[in-house]
Amino acid sequence: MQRRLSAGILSAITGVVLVLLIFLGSRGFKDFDSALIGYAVATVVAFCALVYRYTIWITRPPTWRYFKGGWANFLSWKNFRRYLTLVPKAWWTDIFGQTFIWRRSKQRWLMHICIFYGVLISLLITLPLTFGWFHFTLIQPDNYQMWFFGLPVLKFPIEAGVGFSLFHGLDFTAILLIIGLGIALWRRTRDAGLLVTQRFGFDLMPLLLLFAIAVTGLALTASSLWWEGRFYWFISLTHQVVVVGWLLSLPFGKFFHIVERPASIGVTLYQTVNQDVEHYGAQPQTGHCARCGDPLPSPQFVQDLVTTLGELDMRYDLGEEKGLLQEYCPTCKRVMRGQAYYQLMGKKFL
Amino acid sequence: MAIKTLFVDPSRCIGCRSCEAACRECDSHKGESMVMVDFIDRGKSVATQPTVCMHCNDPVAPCAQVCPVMAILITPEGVVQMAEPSRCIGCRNCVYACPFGVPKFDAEARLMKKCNLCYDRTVQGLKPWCAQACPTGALWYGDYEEFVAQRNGHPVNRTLFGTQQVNTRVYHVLPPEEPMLDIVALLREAEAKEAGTAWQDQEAWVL
Repeated sequence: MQRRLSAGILSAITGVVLVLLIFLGSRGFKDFDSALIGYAVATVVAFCALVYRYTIWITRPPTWRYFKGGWANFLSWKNFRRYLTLVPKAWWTDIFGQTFIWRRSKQRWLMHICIFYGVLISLLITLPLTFGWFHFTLIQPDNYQMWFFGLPVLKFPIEAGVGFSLFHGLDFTAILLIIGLGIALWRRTRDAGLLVTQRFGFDLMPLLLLFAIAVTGLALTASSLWWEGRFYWFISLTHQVVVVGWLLSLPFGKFFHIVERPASIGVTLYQTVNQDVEHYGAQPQTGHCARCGDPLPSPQFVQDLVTTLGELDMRYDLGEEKGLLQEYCPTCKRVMRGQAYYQLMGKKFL
Repeated sequence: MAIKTLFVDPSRCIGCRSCEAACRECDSHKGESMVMVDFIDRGKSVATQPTVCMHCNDPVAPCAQVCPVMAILITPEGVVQMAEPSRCIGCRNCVYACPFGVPKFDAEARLMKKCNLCYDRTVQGLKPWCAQACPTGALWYGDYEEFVAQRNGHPVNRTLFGTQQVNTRVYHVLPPEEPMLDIVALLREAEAKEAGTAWQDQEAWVL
């Protein structure tokens, strides 16, 4: 109840702050494009829902432990020299380069990197536009002035490469998206493992929505460039409907991992800096299994895990001389269970 | 409808690793087995034990509960799935929280993998690969009543780890009237026996 209340309050604050920023950034709604109001409202609702779910998620006992641990490490002067290189590296491997997906499969990596940059760049272009933070004015005879938050930031000739790139930014990201989504849909219709385990709502629906967004987005350009504006209103309405659907699905479906994923930076910090668990290669671990002596994550990791389990009403205390079950490596846990079983069975055969 | 599940009877395990080989064939974790066959006391005995995910139901899936990103989902049938790849951040909480030593971890791919009771097969009424391949019935799939009608032994789904009892969807097959597998008490008995008699004097029980 307490968590829900906090989440609700934070979510409401987010909504108010975002609307205030839209008001300020669009100079009291003067630069706000009312044709884009559907996108703006859906984005505000999606943001509030994202903050609500993020708060509920981050305050779960195991998540909260890593969240606190990650920030404590980040803000610790002692660790500064180590995280100085670690954090940029983690941002590269976990977020911008996504090298861990490369290890899972190269095809998946290509697919994911296309979708990731397609979505990210599209959002970076779309959100400021729909909020009225970006807008363009014509400077006679053939120049454009770009404004951001009411401030002039860039002046460029209409026919120049800069203008072309800016105005077709969403077309480029749509093509990137279609490449990624093509690979994803190819995999999801061919891979026997995926065919049986995927769920329509969770795995396929977001891909189909993105595909519809990319295709209708390109169709808008096609309509204005080659079809003399035919079907424009129908396409733009369809585009708006699918984008709004996608935005509203963000907090509930697969795409929640966009905001979840950066948590791995905190986990990397928590583990590598403080807990001696190395993500990226062989580094000796400082803990030892209580039975076989094989490397185990540090005693701190084990202690934190035991505390988390305690918060979830679980305690695996094996008695004084044996300690806690979490002090044993997975192999020893299995072997000890086998030994207990054979003690019970002796030479019997059922 | 009776719930179909796995029954693990290590006394029947001959260590042939057919279960591992069959598990490797699964398309959802291509080439890697999620079943583990362990020697219990190598050097003293050839006894082996197959381990599959026990699909804990009380407490519900400790692995899923300690997962910071809710990557381990539980199906309406109570099957604990392997980590959802888009969510798993590779923290290894599940690996060390699991009381049965089940989850495997791929450090480079940042991904936990584990037995998901061949969900693709079992939802269609088929046996999991391991039970399909096991030549001795050490891994057996079916419902409780079927097992009792066909097999000896007492299926038990309670395991006691010191102060923590864990109830599971998967059963161990124990001698009749054994209420649970009490790991610590049995290990203490084994240690007392070991201290009392030198193992070399024992008659070999596997001929």
